[in-house]
Amino acid sequence: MPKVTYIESDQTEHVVDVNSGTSVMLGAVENGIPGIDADCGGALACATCHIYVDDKWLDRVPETDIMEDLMLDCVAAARNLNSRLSCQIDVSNELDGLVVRMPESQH
Amino acid sequence: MTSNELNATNPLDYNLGIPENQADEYMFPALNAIRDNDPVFWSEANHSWILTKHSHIVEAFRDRRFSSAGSFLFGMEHHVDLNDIPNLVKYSRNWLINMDGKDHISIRKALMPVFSKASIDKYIPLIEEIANELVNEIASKGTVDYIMDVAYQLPARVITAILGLERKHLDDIKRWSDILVLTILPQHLSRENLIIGERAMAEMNELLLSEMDARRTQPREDLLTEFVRLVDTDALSLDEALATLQIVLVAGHDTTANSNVLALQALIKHPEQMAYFRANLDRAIDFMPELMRYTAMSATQFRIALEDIELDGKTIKKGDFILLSLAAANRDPSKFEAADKLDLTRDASAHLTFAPGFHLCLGHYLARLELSIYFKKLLTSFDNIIIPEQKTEQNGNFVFRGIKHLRVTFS
Repeated sequence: MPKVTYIESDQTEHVVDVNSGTSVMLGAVENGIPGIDADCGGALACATCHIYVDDKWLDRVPETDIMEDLMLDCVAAARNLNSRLSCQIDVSNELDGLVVRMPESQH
Repeated sequence: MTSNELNATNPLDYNLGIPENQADEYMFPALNAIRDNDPVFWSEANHSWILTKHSHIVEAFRDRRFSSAGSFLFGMEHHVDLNDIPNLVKYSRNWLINMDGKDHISIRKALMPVFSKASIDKYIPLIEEIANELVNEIASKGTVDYIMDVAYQLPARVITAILGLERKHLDDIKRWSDILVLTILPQHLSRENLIIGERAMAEMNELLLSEMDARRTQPREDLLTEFVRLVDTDALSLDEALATLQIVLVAGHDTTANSNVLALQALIKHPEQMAYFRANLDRAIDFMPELMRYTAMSATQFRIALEDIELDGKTIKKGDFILLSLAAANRDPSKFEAADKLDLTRDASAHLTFAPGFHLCLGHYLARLELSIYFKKLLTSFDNIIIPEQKTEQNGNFVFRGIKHLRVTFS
């Protein structure tokens, strides 16, 4: 099963196994990892599952589509070039080892 | 199986539209029985499917085949010539609750910063002031009609203050809200209600437009000024702004009022939970999800199937009307342990009150904040809250449930 490393804003690291096909957002929520709120449950309607994808993985995650791009303008913390909404990235074998960082706040 | 093959006299069937049926003692057992025996249920009584399982509704909220836009006229055309209600037709189409797809997302995008935690937290002192004011009014009266004197007043005063409207408009806003709610509930649709609704919407627009014009020349620190900015920067069209303000006025009114009264009733019926709340007032905002889950103010949502949908061995046909029973799902034992019990210590964050999905309520944080500030103040101010024996009447709304009057004594 692919591993994903979630790093909280205080640098606490969580390395967990996430099923292929499960979103990076759900991987955090189901493993009780704090820092991703996901108020809308993954429907691209709230911008509270914001993550920063580690630069090494940027070219391997699927591209941002227009809907996600619109919502990324609404994130609470600063939007950077590596900002993504974690509900829109599904974990896969190709993403085994993915590293993402959570912002200080989602609201 | 499809709707046509099901038996019309199913003993599980339950007419949600009858006001008395919306009382706790009838509604929860009936919905629990449907959920436990036939969770994807064709209801002859409601001419709709009723979905009752938590997992099914979570999926439906994120599945574009369950459309909100398809139902925007709610069958108005069967009661009236649509040319006679131009405002209702034009603006209800632009209400977020009736939209899907890209238009929906672009309006949400414009509005999210306005309703974000950071924006709403600016209003904490104002909400505290209004909560104080209400508690003082309660203290001076002792016994109040809790719905009219308090529960409606809280959101009405908060939303008018946040918008920047004067309080003299409160009675009009209440009247417009009451009428407009009737134009979106199928069982209340009639020519008369739609014509009155049309007039109410025209009056509401007249006020909003003149207030927006005033802010264009003289901006203020209020939500109406924000809306003027959104229109002037083309983030929203004027029609979208008016439609959204209509919804803010109507939705921010009834829902929070009904949540308030149902929560108070529930706490009084469960003295041990009331004691726990009183002992942990600083966590008031954390208790709101459980109170909302248990009381089911937000009881039902409408959707229309955009195509045939297979669910749990049933076929929901394209065009079928679907009722998502949040009341049943919020008491689904496969999601919440001892689901029929009010338990403020539980993590109730998976409750469905705010429709988590494409249509997640934009005002969800404001509602939670407002109610928690108010309850904290109320419980600090009164040791004894008594609901005397009395007959209560349901508000007749199966989407946003509530009661019409409730006499409560405070000391």
